[in-house]
Order: sequence, then C-alpha cells, then structure tokens
Amino acid sequence: MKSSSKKSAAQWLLSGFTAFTLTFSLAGCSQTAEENPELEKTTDASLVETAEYVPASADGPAQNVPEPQLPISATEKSEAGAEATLKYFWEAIDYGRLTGDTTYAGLVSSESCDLCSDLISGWTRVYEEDSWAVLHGNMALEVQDLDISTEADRGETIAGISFVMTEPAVDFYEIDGHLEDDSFDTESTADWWAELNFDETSERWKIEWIGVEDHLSED
Amino acid sequence: MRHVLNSLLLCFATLSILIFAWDPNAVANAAFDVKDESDGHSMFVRIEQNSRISNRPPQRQNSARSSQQSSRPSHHSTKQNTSPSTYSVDAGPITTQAPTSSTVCFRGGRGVLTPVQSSYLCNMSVLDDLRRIPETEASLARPAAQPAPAPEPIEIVITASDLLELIPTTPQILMDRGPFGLKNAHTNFYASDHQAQTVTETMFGQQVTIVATPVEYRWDYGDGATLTTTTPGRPVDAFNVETETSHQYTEPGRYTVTLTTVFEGTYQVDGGPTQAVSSTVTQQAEPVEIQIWRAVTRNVDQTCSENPSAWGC
Repeated sequence: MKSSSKKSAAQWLLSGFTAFTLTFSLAGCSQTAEENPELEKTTDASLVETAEYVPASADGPAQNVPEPQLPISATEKSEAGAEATLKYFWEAIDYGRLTGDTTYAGLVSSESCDLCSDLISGWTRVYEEDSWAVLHGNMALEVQDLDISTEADRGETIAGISFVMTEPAVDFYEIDGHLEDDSFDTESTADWWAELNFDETSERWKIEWIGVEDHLSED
Repeated sequence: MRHVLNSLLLCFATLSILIFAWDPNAVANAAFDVKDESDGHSMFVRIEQNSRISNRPPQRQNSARSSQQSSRPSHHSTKQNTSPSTYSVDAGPITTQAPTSSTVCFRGGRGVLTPVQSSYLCNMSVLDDLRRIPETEASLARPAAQPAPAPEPIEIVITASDLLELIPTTPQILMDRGPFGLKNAHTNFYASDHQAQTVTETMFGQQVTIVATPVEYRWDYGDGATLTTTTPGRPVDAFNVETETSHQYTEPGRYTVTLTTVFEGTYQVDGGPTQAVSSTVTQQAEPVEIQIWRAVTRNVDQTCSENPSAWGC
C-alpha cells in the first residue's frame, strides 16, 4: 500500500478493524459487518460515543484501540473453546500490531510456541523503537478442520486446527514518518496449522504451535 | 445311573491296574496315553514306567488346530509325585500304533473309563489314579527292603504358541498430540506396555514363571513407510520433535498406522534355570487412523507467516 492511499486506507482500517473486533469479541457471532449493516451501524455509534479511537496513519500510531476480549466460550474444553481461543489470539496479535501491547496474546500462548514468541516480542520491540504499523484491512480467519484428542494417560487434551488466514497489507513507519521498505504491500493468504493444549490449571487453551510448514525447520 | 456306571468302570480300571501291579513284567512295559480336555484345552501325555511327564502341544497331533486352541498349558494342579510310583509319565507322541500285549489303555470321556486293548486317550483323572494306586499295590509286589526308585521331575516345556496366549497385554499405538498432524512435521508415535511381562502359572503342581519381553517394534505408517526399532519410542511434550519412532508425512491425507511387536520368551520351572522359548511371537496393536493437514503460503509476497523474524513480526 503506497502513501498516496494512506488516508483512505486509514478510514477503511477504522471500519474494518471495528468490524473485526466485533466479529471476534462476540461469542458465537459469526456475522460480519458486511453481512449485517445494522451491526456495523451499531458499532459506529459506539465509536462515536467514545470518540477516542484514532486509527494509525502516516502521522502516528493508532490510539485508544479497543482491547480484545477473551470470550467465556474460550475457557471451555471443547472444539468451540479451542476455536474461540485461536481467534482471540489473532485479535490480540492485531491489537499488538496497533499498540505494541502483546500482553493479551501472551495469555493464550505457550512458551513452546515459537511464532507466538516472535510475534509477541517483535511487535513490542517495534513500538519500543517508536515505530508503528498501519493495517490496511483486517485479518480474516476461516477454520478448515478442528480435532480434539484427549490422552487419558497423560491427562492432556490437544486440539489441532487447520485454518486459512488472510492477513492485511501492512505499512511500517519509523519515528520520522519514514515508510519502511519491509512493509507488506498486499494482503496474503495462507493455510495455517495450530495446536492448542488445554491448561487444566488456568482452565484455558494455550497455543503450543502455530504457523505454516515453512516454520517447521525453525523449531 | 451314569454315576453308577462311571463307578463301575473306574473300578474295572483299577482292577486292571492291580493285575499289572502283581505282574512285574507287565508293569515294566506299561504305557498309558492320557488326554486332558478339562477347561476346554487338550493335553496329551503318555504314561510309561520310569519315564517323565511333559506337556505336549496337541497341534502335533492335529495341525489344523489353531494355536490359541491347541497349546494352552494345562492349569490343572495334578498331584505331583505324591507316591514313589513305579509309574511316571512321558511326553511321547500319542500312539496310534497297534497296542502291544503289555499296553493298558483307557478310553472314554470325563469320568467314564473303559480299558481297551488299544492305545486310546483317557481322562486326565486316570493319571492321578495310576500314580496313586501303584504306590500301594506295587509295595505289595516288592520286597520291603527294595526302596522305590526316586521319581524323576516332571518336565514342562513352554512353546511359542503358549507364550503367545499367555502375554497379558499387547502394546498399543500412542500419540502425543492426537490422531492428527501437519505435513512435513515430525508426528510422534510410540508403543504402550513396553515392559517385560511376567506370568506365573501352576502346571502339574509346579510353579512356572514365564517372561515375555518385547524386543522389536515394526511400524507401518500407512504411507508406504515402515520402520523397525528395538525401542518403543517415547512421548514428547512439544510439537514437531523428532524421535526414534516419529514420522514425517510428505502428503496430506488420512493414513492408517499399524504396529507389530515381537516378543521373546523365557521361563523358569520352580525357580530352576531360565529356559528360552524356542521362537519369538508377534502381536498386533489396534490400528490408528491419522489425519495429516497441509499449511503452506499461497503467494510469494513476504508476510509474517513466511518470515516471522522479519521486521514487525
């Protein structure tokens, strides 16, 4: 995404991110703003009320980004719980991309998840260096298959999730407003795989591995 | 009525033995074939003077028998050498040859014994009678100064098919992370119940300790790949960890994984020397079906999914 389109992209980001947040924050709600104009209208009204949210742009990072909410269903030891956790994770990563705060993503990430750690530490570092990101759209995630397996002997419940994810184009800016060459010009779609383990202590799913096959050699 | 008939027949059998007891020549040549069909299993022994007893798999008689039916050792606790009998038991083959003049045989089912002039199979209870009765009668026939020869020990042989049936549990296929995985990732399988298994049985009054030790694991991963290991494998906590028994599927799909475990067997009789079962046996685990998925990028544009260490990832 080039700078000439930054303004319109930021506006699109606002509506897109709002729809994204609503989509993943409401448990059991699979509708999107595009499918339900009434949903979008309601969301816009809430933003007007708060009025503090400022989308990221070439002028600076986003401000007052709505925090991700872990749905109650994510605590269930069920397929629905595992899927809700996966979506929450990416919602939390997008929150980190816009704020540098990846605490929420860490809540559902296992220490063994390398990509989780890379994303969590990477986006924190970006904002510590006074850089920021502009997302041109929202992440879309579609689960292809989800299996749960309980190993009675070890008392573990594992979920494997195959999903397709489309990531938006991203512009990276440094403190002086310089657009980084490493920006991702177009959205990308990939088949992803994630494995989650249900933590009986915290009664929460945690992502143990997530990524594409290219990441296997890095483990 | 049947009971009375049985009693009469038993008496007749006893009388026949007494006759032999009075005739040293006949005693010296006495031979009996005994079949035990109690608890659904068959066992054949041959009784001869100054010989021994051993368990002989019936499949030698009838090769059509299944191994499971044929070779389970008798669990009877027969009276072991309760008398210094001049009779003992041998493991010779069940005779089908014409009877000799010195052969006493019985036939009949449980509790029905009929002496016949041929080598017929008899009920196992005859064995006890034969071993008990000569003690008294033979002592009458011998001078008191001649001690009865010491009985030789009963020889018990555990066959491979015995071992197969006595192994308590079969190693099963276990996975760390459920019956699913990712293409090109190390999918870990390992075997359960991989310890040596010990079974103790009482056979002919002797305590037989049998140890079945898994010595080889043959894996078939269902995609054409196979692996033979001496290790059962091990669980791992993390995803995509290579182990001695893990496998990388190169194509997504559904696969059936099978495991064959090879056992070696040893046994001891009444704490005696350890003996090896003549050959190994194998057991099959329940097959496991696994779903393998793919996870690849669909375009060449660099993203965090392709390069998580890139700026901003």
